[in-house]
Amino acid sequence: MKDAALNPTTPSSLPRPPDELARLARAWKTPTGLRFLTSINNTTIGLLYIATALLFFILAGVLALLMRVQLAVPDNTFISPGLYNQLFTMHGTVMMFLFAIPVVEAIAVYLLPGILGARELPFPRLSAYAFWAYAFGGLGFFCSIFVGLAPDGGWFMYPPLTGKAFSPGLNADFWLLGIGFIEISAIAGAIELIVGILMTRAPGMSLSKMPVYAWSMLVVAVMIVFAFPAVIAGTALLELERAFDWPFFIPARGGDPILWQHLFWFFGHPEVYIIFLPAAGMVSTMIPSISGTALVGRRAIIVALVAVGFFSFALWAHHMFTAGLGPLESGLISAASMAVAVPTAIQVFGWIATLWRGKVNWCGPALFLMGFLFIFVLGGLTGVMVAVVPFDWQVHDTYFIVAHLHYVLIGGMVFPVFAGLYYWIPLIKGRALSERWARWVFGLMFAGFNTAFFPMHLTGMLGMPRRVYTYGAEMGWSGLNMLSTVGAFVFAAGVVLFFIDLVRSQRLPTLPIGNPWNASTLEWLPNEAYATRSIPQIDSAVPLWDHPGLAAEVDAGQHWLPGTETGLRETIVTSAVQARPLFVQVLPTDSWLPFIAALGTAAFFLLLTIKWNVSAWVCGIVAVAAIVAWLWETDQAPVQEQVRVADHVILPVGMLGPRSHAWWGTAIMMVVDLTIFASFLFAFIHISMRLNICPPPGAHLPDARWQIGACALMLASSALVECSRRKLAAAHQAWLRVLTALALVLLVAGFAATLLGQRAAGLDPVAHAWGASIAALLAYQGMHIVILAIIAIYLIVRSWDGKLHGRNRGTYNNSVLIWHGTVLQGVFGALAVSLLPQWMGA
Amino acid sequence: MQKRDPLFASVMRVCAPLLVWAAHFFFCYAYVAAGCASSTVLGVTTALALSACCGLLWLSWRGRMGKGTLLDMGAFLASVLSFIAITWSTLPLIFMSACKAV
Repeated sequence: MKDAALNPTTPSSLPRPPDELARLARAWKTPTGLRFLTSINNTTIGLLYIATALLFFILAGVLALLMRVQLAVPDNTFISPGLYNQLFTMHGTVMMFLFAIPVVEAIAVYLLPGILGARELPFPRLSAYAFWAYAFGGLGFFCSIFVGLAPDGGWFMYPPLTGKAFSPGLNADFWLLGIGFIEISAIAGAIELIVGILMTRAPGMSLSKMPVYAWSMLVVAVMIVFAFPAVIAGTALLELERAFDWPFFIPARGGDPILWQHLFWFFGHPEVYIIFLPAAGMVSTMIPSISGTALVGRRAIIVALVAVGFFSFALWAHHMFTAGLGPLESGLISAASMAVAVPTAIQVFGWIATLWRGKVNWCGPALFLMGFLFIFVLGGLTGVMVAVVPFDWQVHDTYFIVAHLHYVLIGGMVFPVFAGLYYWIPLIKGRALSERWARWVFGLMFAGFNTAFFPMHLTGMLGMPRRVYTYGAEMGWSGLNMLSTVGAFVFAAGVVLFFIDLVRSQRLPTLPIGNPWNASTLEWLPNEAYATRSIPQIDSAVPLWDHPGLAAEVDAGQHWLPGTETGLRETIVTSAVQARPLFVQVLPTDSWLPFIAALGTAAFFLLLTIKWNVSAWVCGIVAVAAIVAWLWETDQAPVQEQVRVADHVILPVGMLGPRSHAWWGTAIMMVVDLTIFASFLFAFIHISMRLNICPPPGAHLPDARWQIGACALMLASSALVECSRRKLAAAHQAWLRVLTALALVLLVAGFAATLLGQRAAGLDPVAHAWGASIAALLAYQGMHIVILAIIAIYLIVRSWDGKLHGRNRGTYNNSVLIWHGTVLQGVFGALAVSLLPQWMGA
Repeated sequence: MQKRDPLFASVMRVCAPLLVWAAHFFFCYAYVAAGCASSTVLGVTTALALSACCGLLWLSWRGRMGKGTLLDMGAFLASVLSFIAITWSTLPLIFMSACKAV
């Protein structure tokens, strides 16, 4: 194969075949009418995703305004204390889980394929599923406030307040089940983004030439993989405590509320950066365009993004300085909290230097970027203040913290997102928002924000605690609170004006899009549902600046894959570092299945919360059936073995093993899975460490023979499926089915041996948190056994149907990966449960 | 086309110093939280982490003198940032009583 990077001419020559473009357009046609709901194209799903996230921004904003009305004057009776609790909980929860995280992922789903020069992200149906699950689940969750069932324990849901004793209603369950599965949506998005960024970049777009925005999303997606499992494990533990009285967080029975705080904030602090870094990536993309010069310190900014990603995991306990941690632990966390300011400052100085070097075009996005710099830097400075432990003790849980977090989140994320909306909205219909209105929108939002939130620093310093529904006139907070309320409404007026302008401008007829900001990135190439006509060859970090003719060449079909060779949706998969073309990936088409699966999943969780168990399980089975049907369509034999992607380049279609996108997706999912397991293991260790004697009185360790037998059976099952994968999948399908069934029997036997051993030892999850933490590990393992049973049956049926032969082995390879992960957890869990208490007892 | 495309090696070059920081930070935190008995352990760990960082800094400085690619620059800057962060983590270890009474 010829290396196109060495070819001075374009990869494909003119003239192109006459029907090429029509075939391409046909393959990527967006369905109309009701079937629009089946669309999985990233541009369609991305826009729906962004719109839904903005809807939640408005809804949560309305809740905030209601709170501000209540607090405007002292001793107000506008809202009852109970409703006020629901309002602040829902405001925080919806803003964080249903607006901030989804909107940054949504923008990435919409923009990234364009920025990377790909036709589509690698798992478009997964994106569609994640979006619909989020939309249905989120709207259902929000409706809980209309019937008085909204969660009311604060957005970080600290037990014991949220335990059954103090929150007996369904409110807390809505949070735990409703938010729990929306986190799964975020993880699905992260897998999509990592694989998309590493495997579907345009040929030649090496990691060093990759745009900073893609770098930021890569870092964020990896952070999601390691941060979200902690809160998934935490929510599972709290729900288990509420549902089955397993006392993880009840001190009287050996539990510890601090365990929740560790698990929640090990997610919660990285989450702040999971929200901020995409915004930082957008800023690094917009600032060069509006100042007409390349980003100053581009490489340093990329490294700073990576460093922030690392450091952010060491900050979790700075939310817990008053929880009774030791002074040295607090000191370490305090030092790390200050260290993270260094790479953040590198980025800020890079942006300021770029603005300084260039000539700033004072357009709408520029105004919001300036607002971002001003507000975010102030929020960062108060962040350094609260990183100082004694200061934090003074202002903890006061309005100073409310001011700080809004300066960081609205400054660091909402202003950049609004800048991004102004900047990228012309991509939709070629219609920019009004520049004149932009000044009003920005002015109202900037002035309103500072009027609302700056006084909160003072009310906090004067001692006003957060989450109080009212206050007495004698406290002296009345004037400042009234000012904050006025500011909040001014801010809201700016937001309303923005949406009016958005609707007004997007109702106008479509215009040619062009490159209105003279940007350097690829999303401004001529775009249709199929993305660009041909996938560009990239030789520069600023391709549209260094290669002014690129748009015309790409649109004429002079670059890679200028049509569809197989008649299906395709994209080029390139190598992770140098972006050399490796193979062509055929992508799935529009389908009802992700929609039905998402509806079933959301209904399952919401109905389970209100204890409509039969309906919930029916919906759950529908969801599983839809997912199995969806999987059944994947991993088909390619319609062609090879396709021509350029004049002199022929690539294979699809790939097996570690080069395939599906293998990578599964491997990342297993990392998430193992991190959830590690979080459960951490709970076991944390609870064990609080004991004077381990195991606690009345509890016993299982007999070692049961544990050794269980490990041997599980390892044998893993060996069987591995042997089957390596030796049999190609030719001996009957043996493959027998070995897979046998492996399942061994695995179930291994799990049964673990259970029987624990039962013989008298494991009691209700009596003591120690037993509950072991039971949680067993339950998680049990869930995997059920999933593997479904997978094994699926594999056997697929083999019978002749769909595990030759080029269809991807399904088997990926299933074996899940199998090994489960066995690893089982063996590691058995060892930890048996050996750790002995070591600690010693 | 089977050219080398070493993703893992490239990622590790930049992330190695940050992983040294992470290992040092989480070890110190866990050791202190578990009710440590000896400040010598913390001191030796910190000395090892700083030495590793200095070694990586030196290696990356040589690399930076070479082609000046993103990877070279990344390895260098990550070493500097990790060195600063480990040094800051060391300050409480020096100025506060090394291990709390259990």
